[in-house]
Amino acid sequence: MHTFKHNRSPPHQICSPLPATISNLQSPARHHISPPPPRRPPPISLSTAEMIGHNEDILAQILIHLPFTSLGKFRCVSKHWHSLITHHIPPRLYPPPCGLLYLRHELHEDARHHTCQPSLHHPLLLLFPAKPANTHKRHHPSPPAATKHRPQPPLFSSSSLLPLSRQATTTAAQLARPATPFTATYTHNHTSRRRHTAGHQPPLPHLARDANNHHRRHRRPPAAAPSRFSSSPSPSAAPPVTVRHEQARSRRPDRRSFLLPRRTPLSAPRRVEFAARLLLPAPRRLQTAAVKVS
Amino acid sequence: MSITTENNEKMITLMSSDGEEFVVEEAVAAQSQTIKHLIEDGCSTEGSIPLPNVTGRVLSEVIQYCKKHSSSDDKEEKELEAWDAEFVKAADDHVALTDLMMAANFLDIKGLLDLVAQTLANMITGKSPEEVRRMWNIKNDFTPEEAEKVRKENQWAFE
Repeated sequence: MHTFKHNRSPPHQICSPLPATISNLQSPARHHISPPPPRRPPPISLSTAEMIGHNEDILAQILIHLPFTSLGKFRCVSKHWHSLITHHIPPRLYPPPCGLLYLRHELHEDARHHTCQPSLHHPLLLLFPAKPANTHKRHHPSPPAATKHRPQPPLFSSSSLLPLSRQATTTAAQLARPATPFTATYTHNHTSRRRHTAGHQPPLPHLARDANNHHRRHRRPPAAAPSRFSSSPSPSAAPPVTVRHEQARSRRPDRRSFLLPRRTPLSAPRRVEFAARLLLPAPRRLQTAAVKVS
Repeated sequence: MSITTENNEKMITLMSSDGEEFVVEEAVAAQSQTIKHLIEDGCSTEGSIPLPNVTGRVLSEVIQYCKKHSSSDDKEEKELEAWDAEFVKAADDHVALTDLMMAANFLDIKGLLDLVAQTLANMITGKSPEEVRRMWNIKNDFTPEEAEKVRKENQWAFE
């Protein structure tokens, strides 16, 4: 007690058992870190928390670790989160078998609300109509000049559908192939009953057989077909190659036709059609499918 | 790695935003890409490296992580994973994790960034949007109509 009197320290420090240690801690001093992690209660720094909630880089780092459903949920957090999740977070792929089953319900819901967002969702979702920005122009196919209204090119081409539906052992890495240079756009057509056209290029070698069969079955040459694109107001632009597809009901039923009613008016390439048959609960919604060469 | 490790030879002094100084081996500090580049540019020769975005408390935790991961390259992965789990478990508060994440982002330490991001993601996975807003002080800037619309669009995620 006597020695402490020379310290000129306040009384409460005199009573403390280790005054030297305390003063060391309080003053900035060079020291080495000891290996065991000493944990103190963290100070509440709301500013940091606020920063992370608005910092795009860091937020994206966190969001990419989130599962699919949570991402959908957190689109409701704020406008910033909504756009970040919709446009910048790549989909986290599920293993195909459970992914197929898991997504089916969600697809159903999503297709009902016309809200498919290609950048967020699984490649399977590309089958379904991305919400068009120009819904009111639904019956007027967009001319090439109006490409700004088109949804962004999907991260994954629909070509990944075939391996997914045929082999249950496809890995996520196989699915995550880079996008092939065409985009698939789908439009609803509730009124027109006429046959639909689609620009189409076989994207994969193993699909070429199907495409050739398609060509053989054409009744008229593509140029004579009443193309949806030929009615576009800017005919100066080179019109895409159009290929007529027959309606599904006039086609010879294949062995998979038991999956859906036979009167399904699908006019998409067969691989899209096959996947749609597996997934789409209300097949009449998808009447026209145009695969455009970009 | 261009930096040759000569243990206990090269030491780097890091200074946090609140003036605390930490002396660490260069190999440990070089786990941070930011510091590594600073060292390569010769910033470490003149005194300490100032880290204005990182407080002393956070920096000490970051250095623990770096030490562990620089010293246990050849050790078992499992042990390291267990240590990582303990490391983030100790910072159970999301504010502490947030601080750690900001520091890892600034210092560009990939492993730590992934670790903390995963932890934070696990933390918010089960939460509702309202809880996440409260957690990070995010303002809900949707109008009621917009909120209703977005909610409807993503209804599948809430079921």
